[in-house]
Amino acid sequence: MIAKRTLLVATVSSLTWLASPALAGFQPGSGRVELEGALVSGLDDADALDALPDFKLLGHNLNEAFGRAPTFVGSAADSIEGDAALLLDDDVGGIDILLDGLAPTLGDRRIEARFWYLPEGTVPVAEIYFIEVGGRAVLDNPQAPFAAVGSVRFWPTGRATDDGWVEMSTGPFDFSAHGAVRARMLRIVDDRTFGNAFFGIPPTPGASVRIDALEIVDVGARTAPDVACNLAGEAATCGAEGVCLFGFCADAAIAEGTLPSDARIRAEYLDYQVQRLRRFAGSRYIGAQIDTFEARMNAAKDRPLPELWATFRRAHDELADGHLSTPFLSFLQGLGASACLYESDADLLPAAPVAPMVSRLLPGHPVSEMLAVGDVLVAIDGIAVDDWAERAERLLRYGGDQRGRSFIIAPDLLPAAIRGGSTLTFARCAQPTPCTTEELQTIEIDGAALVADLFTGARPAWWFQQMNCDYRFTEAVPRPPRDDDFVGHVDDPEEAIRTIVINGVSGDNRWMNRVRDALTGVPEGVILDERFGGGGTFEGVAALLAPFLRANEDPIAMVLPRLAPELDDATRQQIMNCQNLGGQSCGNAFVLPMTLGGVAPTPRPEARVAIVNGLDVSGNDFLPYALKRRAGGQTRIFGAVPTYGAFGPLSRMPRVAGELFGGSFQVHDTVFLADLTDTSTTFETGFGVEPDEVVRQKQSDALAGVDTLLARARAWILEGAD
Amino acid sequence: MRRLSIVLIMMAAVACSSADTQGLDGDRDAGVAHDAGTPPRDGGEARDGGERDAGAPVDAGPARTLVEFSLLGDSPPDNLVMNPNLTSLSTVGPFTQVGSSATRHFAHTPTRQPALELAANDSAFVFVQAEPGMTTASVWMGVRDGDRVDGTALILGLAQSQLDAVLQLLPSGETVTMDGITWQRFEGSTMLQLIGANLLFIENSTRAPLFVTGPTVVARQAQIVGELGAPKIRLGAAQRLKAEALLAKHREALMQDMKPVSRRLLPRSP
Repeated sequence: MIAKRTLLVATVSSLTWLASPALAGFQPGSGRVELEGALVSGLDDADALDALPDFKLLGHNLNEAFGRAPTFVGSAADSIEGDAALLLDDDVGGIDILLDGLAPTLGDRRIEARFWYLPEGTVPVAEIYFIEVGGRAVLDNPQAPFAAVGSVRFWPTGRATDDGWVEMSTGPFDFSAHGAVRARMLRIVDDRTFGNAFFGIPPTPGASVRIDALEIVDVGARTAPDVACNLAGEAATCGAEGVCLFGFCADAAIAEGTLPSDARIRAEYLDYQVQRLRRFAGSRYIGAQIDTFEARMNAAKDRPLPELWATFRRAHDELADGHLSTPFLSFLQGLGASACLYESDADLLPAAPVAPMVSRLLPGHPVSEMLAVGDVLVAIDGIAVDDWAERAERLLRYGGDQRGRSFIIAPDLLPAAIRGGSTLTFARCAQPTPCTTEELQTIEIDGAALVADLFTGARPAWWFQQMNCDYRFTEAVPRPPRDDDFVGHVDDPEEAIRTIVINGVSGDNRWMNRVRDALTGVPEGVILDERFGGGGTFEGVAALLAPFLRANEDPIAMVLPRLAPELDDATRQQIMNCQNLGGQSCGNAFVLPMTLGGVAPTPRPEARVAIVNGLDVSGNDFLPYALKRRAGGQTRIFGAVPTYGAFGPLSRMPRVAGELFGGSFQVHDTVFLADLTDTSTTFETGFGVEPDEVVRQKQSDALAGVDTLLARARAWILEGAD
Repeated sequence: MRRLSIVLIMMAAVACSSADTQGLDGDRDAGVAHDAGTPPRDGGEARDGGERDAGAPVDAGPARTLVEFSLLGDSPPDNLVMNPNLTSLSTVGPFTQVGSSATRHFAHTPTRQPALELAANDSAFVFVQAEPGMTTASVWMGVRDGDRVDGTALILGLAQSQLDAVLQLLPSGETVTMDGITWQRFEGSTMLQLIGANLLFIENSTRAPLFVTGPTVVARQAQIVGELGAPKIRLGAAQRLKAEALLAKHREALMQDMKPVSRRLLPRSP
């Protein structure tokens, strides 16, 4: 039997056993685990916890103080190491353990953390957080884990015992990123605690889990060189396993997260990500792409983490399901936007390129001190913005119709560049007429310099300041920074134009009341500014659509799951019959009149409707799609790129392997029918609603304070006015 | 209810993986994906009425031996159940439940997967994708303390030939006791060609918790040699009410969910 112990081994010489790591760990002869690492704890009793550098027990509410003493259970016979195991139960939700004391010996080392658990109704979720400060400043701050610079999570190793113990491991990772940013805290929490913290689901009582045999072992020298870098050059500077994190090379495991280190479990996890899309995704576009997707995923499976993550994320994005989100493995709050850059017509620059342009600035932020509205981003790390964005694909996500990618990701370039330690080059033309090259001013923002204090333990005060980039240059109606339920309207009585501003089609009571107001007394011309259209509900779509349809007009959305064989007349009839007979399931298919049977109190079917688009997804795909095809007055869509093309509801996927959220995608796709005699079989997901007129904000208009899109929409309405 | 005999020749190979068990001392072939019609091979566990509990002490040898752990237990790769681990935090979309049901993780279950604890008189469903071929479904249901398993497992769906197609899963005769829970396997097959996404509906008719694990539905190309034997029933009025209540909840949730997970609040994800 292994004696109970908790050791903090503080000398390098004590790590020499690592030359033969097979000697430690699970011992087949005894059926028990032997611990021998830089930090080991049998978690046998209160003494064992007290010998840890520092720790804090957690309740199931992570934000509340918790004062209960730990419980240890079991015996030498039924614990896997030592005499007992730490119990997480209906009261004790988890434990935070400080790792500060390991820095002197492990600061430049590569380590692996492991423990075992025995489920008795629940399982643990565990992570190690990389933070720039340590001590009680971390342990006593409930928000510290979420503000971490990076984290490494534990995965099953694929090893278990026949009496139910399961081994978890982080796999190898570098103990330090750079300077003060290093592994500071290890957290093990009951899975139910996570559900309580993030989903508000109270823990269902009557479950526990035993935690035992915790150890952190040294597995060699750090892999990422501790040198300065930028994102564009990280492949050459930081090695195969490194990425550039705020200007210094760091292990990609810290910056981007880990996958299971065990090849079998990793393959199982990644294969599951592919197979669930193959079997359940409703998008026919995904169905057509799935073999290519699987081949990409298979090719990336065993590649170094930077390459694997980049491929994984881009491959998912290119499935063009706007409701697809890959599983969440960690909840870390990243840098937000400190200035809003939108892809614009830089008509004051030589050659008038299409490029990201500053449209709004965050007051008080250091970036705002350097930039001005109208400045154009012309290079990052000395290369073209598009080329840089390709290298930064692990940081830039866009999962809608890929024709809109460069437009939608433009506001994310600045925070991504700062995270990547990159230097952004802006061109300024400070006059209302086009500048020559000589007349341009150049502004450079060194992302690494902005955040340099992070590595001395003094995170800049502006770190968590961010602004909402809504793809609008001006606000027709003043509104809160971010309000998905916002509906505002303003009239121009002289020109008989009403501008209605929405941020989505929420459909909740407050939103519906505001829409009712906005649709009362509508004049001949309507501008619908949905440039930040985050979706919502079918009810929301119906409320904004119905007033603009004729009395006998009601397009139909057939919202269909994957069908095998594919939709044909017989299946269509079967689904219709089922629904007509009151069937609730009908194969999870829905045939919906897009007005949902609602009648507009003040119909305006002949109104001339100008839709101004930006980022539009889901409900804000359905709405312009239907308005564009209405039979009454004209509709014209102004925007830079197609909408997302997410034609269907979102379905959240189940969690596996302790994911914090299992991700999401559509298990439906949609066929639109003009009426019940329509036999269309065209599925729409993946193909956004295209603008009738491609319009971007002009740089010259920006300097003059003119919103190019609203101006063009207004002009079109007036062109049709009698 | 009449249950007819069938003789089927499976035309499709049973999907399986050749698990590399090198270095593992356990005799449990955990890496093999079991077909829906195949009971799990769980070395040392008593079956068919056996009473030995998995937690019983071992007489000799090491305290324990290593076995393989898999993220989805024995769920086959081509399982058509959208939520094979019955994860309760996914409350919209592929899984809907009522009451105080919860996912439970035990050291031992027949398929090495988590279990859903279905509270007294609760019901739940998971979506099951339809594929061409013979649909074969199975699930394990268990109770504590030797109570009688009194759960109902139904496949509810839409078929070309009828509305509200129903397949009731019946006891296969296999039972196993693990960690104080007596598990019983239920199974059924149908040649009805289902459409779209259908439901595996589980109902707990007792006042005690019912544990559910290992839902498996696979579709196989099959040549029917004998008479089709799909145990079909008509849905009872009470069951219909419960199923419709769950579906209405699901449908309402879907209607409210045309909004992607916020781009702006994205936590770190793969």
